[in-house]
Amino acid sequence: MIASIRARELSFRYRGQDQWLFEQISFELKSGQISALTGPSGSGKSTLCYCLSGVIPRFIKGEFSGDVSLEGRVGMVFQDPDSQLFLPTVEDELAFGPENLCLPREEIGRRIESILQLIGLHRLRLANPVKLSGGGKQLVALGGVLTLDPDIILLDEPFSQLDDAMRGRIKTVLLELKRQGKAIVFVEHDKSNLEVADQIWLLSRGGLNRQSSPEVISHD
Amino acid sequence: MIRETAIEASNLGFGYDRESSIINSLSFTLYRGETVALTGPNGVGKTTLGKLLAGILKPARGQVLLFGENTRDMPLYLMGRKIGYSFQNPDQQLFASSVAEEIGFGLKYRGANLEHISRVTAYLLNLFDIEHLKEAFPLNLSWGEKRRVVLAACLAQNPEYLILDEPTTGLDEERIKALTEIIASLRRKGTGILLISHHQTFIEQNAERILRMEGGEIRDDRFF
Repeated sequence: MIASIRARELSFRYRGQDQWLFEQISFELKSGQISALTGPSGSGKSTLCYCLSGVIPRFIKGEFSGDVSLEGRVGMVFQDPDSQLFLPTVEDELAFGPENLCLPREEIGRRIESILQLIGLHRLRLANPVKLSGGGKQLVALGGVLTLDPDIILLDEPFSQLDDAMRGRIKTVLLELKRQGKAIVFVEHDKSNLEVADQIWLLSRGGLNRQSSPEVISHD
Repeated sequence: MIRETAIEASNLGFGYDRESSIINSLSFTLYRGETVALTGPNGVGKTTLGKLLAGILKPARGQVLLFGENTRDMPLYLMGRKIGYSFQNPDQQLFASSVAEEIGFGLKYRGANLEHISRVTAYLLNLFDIEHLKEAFPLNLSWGEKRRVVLAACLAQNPEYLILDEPTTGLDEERIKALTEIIASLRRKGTGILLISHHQTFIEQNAERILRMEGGEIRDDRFF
């Protein structure tokens, strides 16, 4: 399998921080694999996702070194869905990405239809995303990324506000995306959600280490 | 044992517009010293109910009595003295220029003296393991750090009742364990707590009663 994400000697600290959030970390993630990224709150998991998606260094300033190479298009679902929802209906949110890729109308319609089915949002097609529940917003943010059909998908705590049924459904979706050959990285604290991961990485005290199983994860 | 009523909802109804109703005729009582979990599928109205109980939203039908007073007649500052509310999205309640200021803000505007404010702030910074962030700008923190700042700011005001909407999102296992201990000590002190959560283990470890919502109604009200 080819490496989809290759990070080499990655270091970052925000403006005003004395210490590196993470320092000289290197790893490779392959397509057709699901990787979970875990670690204590504040250890830099979201920041690492920003580095992999290019948000850092393009939009967030700080001291950045090392490099990230990506095979294919990347899509990211942020931890706070409010930060990526801005259109008046769910349908508009799902259309925004493919519209900006200048895809034909029929293809945009087809993608919206299939993603609405996939994540169970049909009922909310014409709802205003701002007025949805936390879990509903998380699903719309995910849908908006999936209609882009990215090769690499970064998800920051994608299950955090979902009920049990939706959590199960999204896990199935992740496994299907894996089967299609996507590289998936998701940030997660809850061990019960790590079952879908092929590999688990622990980001702690500035270093990144691969874990053998969810049971051995210790943040100490 | 006679328990003191904290919040009493009667025939509560609410919809964000005239045509739709999210909450239909709910009646229940929440007590002091009791930790209750509010659960149910996504979009069922848990957050809306939490906001109605805290007085952030006013009922379309029925009423909420907060320690015996109708929330419809209470000004916001008065409700804020009785009840602490942590939003699902911590960004919605962070505004100060430093973490320490955020935590002390409520006390400052209630006229507490500076010595008291700094003592309470120091205690909470330590309790939530955010001492190292006291000078940081709250909106630049990670989600889990923001969550802990918001919880600390709620507790600073020593509320009689606390509503926490998805308090575990962004928190690692150690921090969830620490939150469980904090909740237990609040309960011993007599504070009532409503936890809106999907986190099953957290609910089982903390709540003694579960209210399950479905279709705008309470489908199950169960004590452990």
